[in-house]
Amino acid sequence: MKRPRLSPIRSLPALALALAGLAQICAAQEFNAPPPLARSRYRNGEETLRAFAPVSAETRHSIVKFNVAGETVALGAVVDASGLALTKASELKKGKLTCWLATEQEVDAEVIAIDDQEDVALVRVHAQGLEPIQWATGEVGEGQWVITPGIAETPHAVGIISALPRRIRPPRALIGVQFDFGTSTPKIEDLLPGLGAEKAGLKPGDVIVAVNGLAVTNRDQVVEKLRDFRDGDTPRLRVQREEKQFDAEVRMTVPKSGQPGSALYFQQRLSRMGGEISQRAEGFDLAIEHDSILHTWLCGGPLVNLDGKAIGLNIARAGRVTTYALPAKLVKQVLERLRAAAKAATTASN
Amino acid sequence: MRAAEYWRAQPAAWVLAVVLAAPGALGAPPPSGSKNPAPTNLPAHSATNAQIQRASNTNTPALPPVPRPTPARRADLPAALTKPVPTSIADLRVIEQHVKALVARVSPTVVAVEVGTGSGSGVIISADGLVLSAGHVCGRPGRVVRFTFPDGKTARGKTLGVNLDNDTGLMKITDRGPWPYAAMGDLDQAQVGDWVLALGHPGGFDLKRSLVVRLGRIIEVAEDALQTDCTISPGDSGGPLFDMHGRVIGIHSAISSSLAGNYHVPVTEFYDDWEVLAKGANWK
Repeated sequence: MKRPRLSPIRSLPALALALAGLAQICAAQEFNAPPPLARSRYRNGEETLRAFAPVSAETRHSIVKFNVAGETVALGAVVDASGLALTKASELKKGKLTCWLATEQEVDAEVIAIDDQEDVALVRVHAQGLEPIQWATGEVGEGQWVITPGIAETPHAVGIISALPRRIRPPRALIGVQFDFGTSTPKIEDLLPGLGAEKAGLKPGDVIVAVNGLAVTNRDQVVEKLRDFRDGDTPRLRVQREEKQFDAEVRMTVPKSGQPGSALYFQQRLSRMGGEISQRAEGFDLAIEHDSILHTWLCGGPLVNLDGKAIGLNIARAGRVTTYALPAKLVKQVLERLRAAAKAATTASN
Repeated sequence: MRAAEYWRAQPAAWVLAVVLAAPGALGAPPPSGSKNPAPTNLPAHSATNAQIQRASNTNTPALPPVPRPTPARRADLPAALTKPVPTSIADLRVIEQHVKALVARVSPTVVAVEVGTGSGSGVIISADGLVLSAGHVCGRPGRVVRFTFPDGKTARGKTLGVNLDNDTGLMKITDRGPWPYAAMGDLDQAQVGDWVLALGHPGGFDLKRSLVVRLGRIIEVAEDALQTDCTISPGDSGGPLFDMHGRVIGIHSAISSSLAGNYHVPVTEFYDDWEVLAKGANWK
């Protein structure tokens, strides 16, 4: 069968040598082909989601939907029948916090502890009769269905596990130097205006000899060591200038679009095409990567398997192809930390 | 609505077709892998593909003949996979079991490729190391390529023919095989709504993450493009789209800003261009 030619691919050749480029999509001539797939039958279409309804039935009374000033900001996973839920901390904007339940009630809620490391909040939900989510045990596998149920009868999104749990580094923050590429020693050639290194008084020709007390002898070591610091951190750099050495506390920055250094993030921006991503999308000790298409305001709830058991907690929409969930095992550890913190706070206030 | 009308009807989606190769300089650091890996001897599928010749067997290697698609019948697939839409948890379990097995079977055939400062993906289709990729990942014939397997092992090779017009590109692993390889498919049975699996290395190779697997359905089939809702992203370019038989039916090529705008070059374009691609020539 001779098929008609359509499509955007025709418009690519002019760009093909560029590493990345933009082009308009050319509309093609009319043709006789089978009609495209109905949206309702896409992987995330409503007909497809309907098949997952039993999973929602199993879990919807273990889920809450948080609102701030009437706007949905996150889902939450009920972890205690007395009304405790976990959610994504950074999505809880300032304002009056309430939540919707599967029973269609809206109740008040308040944050009682936050774990900054994994971006998880423990929230007190003022409601009776909530059912704690059940955690799955055992390993997860690539290709396995993962479901993001809400409080409704069908889930918000479904997808598969794309990659097994791994550590997700924090977003790359910069000290704002350009190294001399003529040598492997970490010798500064130029400084980006307005970023940490310049503000700390570093100058072209300076050589970095240690990061937080750990000796470094080449450029790659410096880059690697600095990768573990986050936006706003101030690692101590030992700097050699001619015969003298001195320490400098250099603030790390993730430049905003348009600022010096932001060109480095071009590829990252490309990977976000197709929708908003979570503000806090990186820097987790362990995360399952899955391909569910999830709005940023639908993170924070449980990610479950076909049995309705939670394999993790959705923690970030991180890119066009990427959603992260903290694995159940890690979530349970975080919950213990949060309970301890909440208890300590109560004791202190008493 | 036809795809063409769809594009016209949505000014917001009159969009950015983005070339999906990731700039290597911004990608993950090169993996620490052996330069001379011991390749897996097992082909990724049990059917022998006599049509794929081992060029290394002859002193003056003839051009590898056009690969023949491995025959497959829809009827051999579990019914849950050929229904218009799954309707029960039982259907979903069947799909899950099938997909998990498929991922394990085809993954060893997918490679990350680095060409110049760019990086993308590819899929091995013969034991002697022919690799399908995207034209825009290859760039031009005769370039040096570094292939990285999902376990981080690497192999050397080069680009063969390139057609930037339809975005087909062929590469060859020049290190000694045999290499694990995937079966080729065709579009004779490809239907709108078919479940498909996209594999690749979005953002470039990352040893701690390795391959990224996505599931979706065929949204539209045309002669020169398959559209799916398997989300793909820069770095996936050149990576394979598998049908549920585990056959390569497409190569990732472009995206639009819509999450359903993922375009793959149909494998049939490779058959049509084969002589030029195999000769290592530029398409004129």
